[in-house]
Amino acid sequence: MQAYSTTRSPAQKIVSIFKSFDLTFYIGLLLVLLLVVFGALGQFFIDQRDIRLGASSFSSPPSAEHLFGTDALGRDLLTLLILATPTTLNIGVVTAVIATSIGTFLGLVTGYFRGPLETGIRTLIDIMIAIPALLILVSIASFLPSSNTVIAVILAIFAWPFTARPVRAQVLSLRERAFVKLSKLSKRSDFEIIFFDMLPNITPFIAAGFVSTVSNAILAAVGLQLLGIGPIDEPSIGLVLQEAFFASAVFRELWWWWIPPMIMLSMIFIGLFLISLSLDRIARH
Amino acid sequence: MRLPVSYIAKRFLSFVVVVWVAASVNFIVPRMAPGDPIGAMVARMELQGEVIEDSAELIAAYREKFGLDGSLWDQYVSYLTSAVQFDFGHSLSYFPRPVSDIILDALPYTLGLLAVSIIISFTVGTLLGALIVWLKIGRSGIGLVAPLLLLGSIPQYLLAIILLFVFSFALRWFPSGGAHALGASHDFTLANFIEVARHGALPIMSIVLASAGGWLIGMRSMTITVTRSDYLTLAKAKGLSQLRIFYHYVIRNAILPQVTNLAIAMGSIVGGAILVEVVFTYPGLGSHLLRAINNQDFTVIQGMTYTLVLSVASAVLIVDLLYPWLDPRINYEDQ
Amino acid sequence: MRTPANGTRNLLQSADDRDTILSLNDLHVEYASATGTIHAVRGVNLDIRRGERFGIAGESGSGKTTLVNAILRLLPETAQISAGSIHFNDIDLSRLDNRSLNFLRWSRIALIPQGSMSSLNPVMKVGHQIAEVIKTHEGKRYNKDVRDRIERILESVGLDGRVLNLYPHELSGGMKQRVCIAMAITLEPELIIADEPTSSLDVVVQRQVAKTLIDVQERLGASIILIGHDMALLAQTAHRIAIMNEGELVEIDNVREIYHRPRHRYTQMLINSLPSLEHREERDIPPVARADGGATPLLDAQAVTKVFGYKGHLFAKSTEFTALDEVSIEVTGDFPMVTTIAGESGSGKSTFANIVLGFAKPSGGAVYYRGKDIARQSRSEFAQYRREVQAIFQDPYEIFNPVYTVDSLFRVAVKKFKLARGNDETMALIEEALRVVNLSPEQVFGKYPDELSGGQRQRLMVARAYLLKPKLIVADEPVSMVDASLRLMILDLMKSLRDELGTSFVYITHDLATAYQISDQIIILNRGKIVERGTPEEVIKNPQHPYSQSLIQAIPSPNPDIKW
Repeated sequence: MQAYSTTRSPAQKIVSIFKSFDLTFYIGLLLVLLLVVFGALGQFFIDQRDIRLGASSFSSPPSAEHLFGTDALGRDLLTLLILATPTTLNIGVVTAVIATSIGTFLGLVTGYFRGPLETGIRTLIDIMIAIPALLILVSIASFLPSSNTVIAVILAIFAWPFTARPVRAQVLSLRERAFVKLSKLSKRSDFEIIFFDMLPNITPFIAAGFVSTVSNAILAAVGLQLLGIGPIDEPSIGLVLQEAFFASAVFRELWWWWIPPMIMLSMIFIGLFLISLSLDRIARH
Repeated sequence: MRLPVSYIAKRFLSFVVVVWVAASVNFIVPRMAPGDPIGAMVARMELQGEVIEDSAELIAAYREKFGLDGSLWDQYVSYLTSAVQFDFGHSLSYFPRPVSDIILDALPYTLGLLAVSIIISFTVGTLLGALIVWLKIGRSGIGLVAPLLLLGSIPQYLLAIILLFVFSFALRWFPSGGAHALGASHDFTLANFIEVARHGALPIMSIVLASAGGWLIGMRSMTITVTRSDYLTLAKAKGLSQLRIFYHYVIRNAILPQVTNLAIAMGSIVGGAILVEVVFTYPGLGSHLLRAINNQDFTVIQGMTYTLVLSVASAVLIVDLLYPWLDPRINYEDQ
Repeated sequence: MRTPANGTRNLLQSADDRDTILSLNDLHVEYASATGTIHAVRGVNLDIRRGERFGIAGESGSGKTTLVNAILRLLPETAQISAGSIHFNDIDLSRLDNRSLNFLRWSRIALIPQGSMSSLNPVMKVGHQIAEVIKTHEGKRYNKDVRDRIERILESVGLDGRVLNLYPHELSGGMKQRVCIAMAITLEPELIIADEPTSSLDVVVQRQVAKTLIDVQERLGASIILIGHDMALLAQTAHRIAIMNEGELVEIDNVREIYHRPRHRYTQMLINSLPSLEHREERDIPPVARADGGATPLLDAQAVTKVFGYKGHLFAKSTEFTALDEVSIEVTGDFPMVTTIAGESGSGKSTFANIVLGFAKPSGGAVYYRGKDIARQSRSEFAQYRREVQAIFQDPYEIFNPVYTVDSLFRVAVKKFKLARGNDETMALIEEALRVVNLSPEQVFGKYPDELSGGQRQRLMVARAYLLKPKLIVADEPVSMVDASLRLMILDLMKSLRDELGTSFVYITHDLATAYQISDQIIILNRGKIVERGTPEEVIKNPQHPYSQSLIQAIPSPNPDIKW
């Protein structure tokens, strides 16, 4: 065995990645994880029947029986919010997974290769970025019956260019570096260069992009709910807030109805923002 | 300055394509909708006991507007033609009021709200971002603006609800909705102006507080880059005044990416603003859109979304066309 | 003090009046960094005389730029003058308040910055950037008179007066440099500090700009401090030279003494490492031909043409330009040799390198490697070509992927070319390659690129080439950004690869002096065309084409007795 270590174990690598994050990152992660845990563990303690219309007394404040109180339709708000949390987080994650995959792939490919197809995709990216997605979505959602999955897919269709463009810009600068030429001289294929030489260099960018896509998707989905064109068959935090707001909960002093969903949404947005702030810093380092 | 022809041509092309996409989505979507939305709506209204005197007329108007007669291509061409002419037919719920009429009523409120809040948030955020770096406020400075940064991460509409609760419901400092006091005259008097300002204050504050943080962060990191540049070193060596260096060197260069980002962010700013209108029942396009959605007034929805996309695209075009005036290099970078 | 053996008129004059304009006394500058305090300038004592051109020479990291910034009080926040004084006339600059400092800046001490390419404000017209110093220091608005004055100043540095209406991006590198000179002399300062004023320019323009600088300095009677790493350039421009190494001035003397009788060991090393255009070691061409040589040349480029850019369309002007125009070059397979392809930036030399390495396809003509068109190789021929044709690149930093440890450079090559089986065999191979470049595995293994010095990285690059034992190495400006001592080492390594492994080189460079030293044939490219080819003696001593003549004439000689 040599006296010097030549490679690091995967465990060491993971430890070093986590060491590179700062406090901002962990506060953000904590906020988001709290909600994830709330939504996941909560499922074991609830009874679906508590959210049927008129299951309990109407608009009753928090009590031992209803920890979060009930809404004007007599539903248990704690149960409702526990069921709503995964739906809302899912929209963000599904959108971001689709958009980041497509965006990263097309960003890598259009950054690395030259040709008419590349020109076409680049033009498409430029135009897509200029299209106000939320407004188009309003037009679609007000006609077509939509589910959260459909909304996530449509959001992803408009979101991928926001990943593709910065990835492409990064690749454009990376491909001019001598190490790419050296990889070619070592007989690495274009495919290997893209995935072994380029991709690791832009991982922090992709991660930061993923997090902001999650945040933007949730922002848009909640916005659609507020306009009354979001899906109503599944409870989501946005839907709870919309019902509370349009039942004038703010003015009727039904604080337990509108404040918890507000806090939960704020936790999501602030948490994701702190994470992406930290990832941005790492990417730019 | 030589006119960057290819740059301008590209921007116009982008504008046309975006508006065309919006119009086409509006054309396609109703045709994908299951059943006959208009018939369903009339039926439902009749069920609710509403008397629709002109129901036959209404259906005819709708069929004509949505061009359900003729070949699909003919329908498409006639739809695009009327979109260019800003003709969306008649409102279904306020028949026979033309959609464009409703839009023109609401548009000034939305544009006013947007213009004032974008100018304030962009100016304040950008200036603060530059000052924090330039005055070397450092870590404690970030602490000072941290609340602004956190607010910046929250959507405008959530902030709007909080402001509504705090300043309108709890403190009763500002009215909870509308743009004027009920029954107020529209004459231009100081009293009216204050009234309008009081009604606009909370919506504007929501948008400003929720977006200034973003401009601040962007300007801060760009200013750091500029302060490390060679031209800044030379400017100091030239013995120029601090104010001159700050304005002509720091701001003038660091603001360039901010302006590009303003164009990119325009869509989400407008999207956020219509939701803020909804929260404050501010009588702009957002509130009308909400009412149209509740009434299932499809012609109005379509007119509204089209108008909003058109506004966004126009604002982007204006910013893009102003850009070469700020950055003389544009024609070269473009190639 | 030594008296100059046969000093120039200027030097005698300044020696006569002994008038000191700038005096540094035991100056120390320290930087605070993450790893502790860096003592960048250590006890510098220096007197600059009125009207003299004083050179400060040093390699990167020697502290010369820090010294300049200390004089102008432009040090970054993390640095401070920890001891000593800087007297400009009778004013101690190190203790001056900001107001007085700003008043003094530019009106009495001006700067010609390093990296003039990026030193002009990109959003301000050139005229305004000059006018603002007039406004700040003389209180005059930008009117007709000021405009005329700026035009005259621009003309005095060899520019068209109308340049004042242009933005920096509309100027060439040489023009920007001249604008910076014009700006520096606007207020007729007593002292000009020129930090590497011509290092980013091609040699012909460098000479013109340096001449302009000397010309305006003599006209103003100002003193000038020339900072540089190029001893030859300083030898041709300065009266006296100070040699700086690791924050200290190790030797100060007039140019002739420094060149002919360097006293300090470091100075001697610098002088000895200078490539000379006067004489070269003749190399004995080995009589033994290569076994696989013979009639087919190793590399044969036939009428290679490369056109870049797009044909215009409705909204875009045509941007086509010809980077290479029917370039034919042959490298024999009979014995290992070094073929230099020299030219200025934009000559097409790097494009040629890219085509030979298969990174770009020629628009016309073809490159044959051992008789095979490299654009039309079978899979196995391509594998062999990749194995046998390798490269050494320019920038020592970007040759490594920052996310991997440096040994991955070797491991990828070993794996893809199946050079070894198993870890032990791989390690043995890599260690052997490292030994050739005097590196031990402990020094480099498991390290990231930024943990190594530039010299170590550059040597790793050579070690990688050695590992593959290629037949042909394209060396694309391998020494253009490195210090003199390292340059010598890399060139020696190239020679030993040639002699021990029998590797031929295509040496791409702008530096004819090193080319003269190590090449067997030199080809000069200008705007994509070959203008000169021959043995080093033929090309350097007796160039035929006017372009090559001007190129060779523009090379500064380190010997101050040879007029430039």
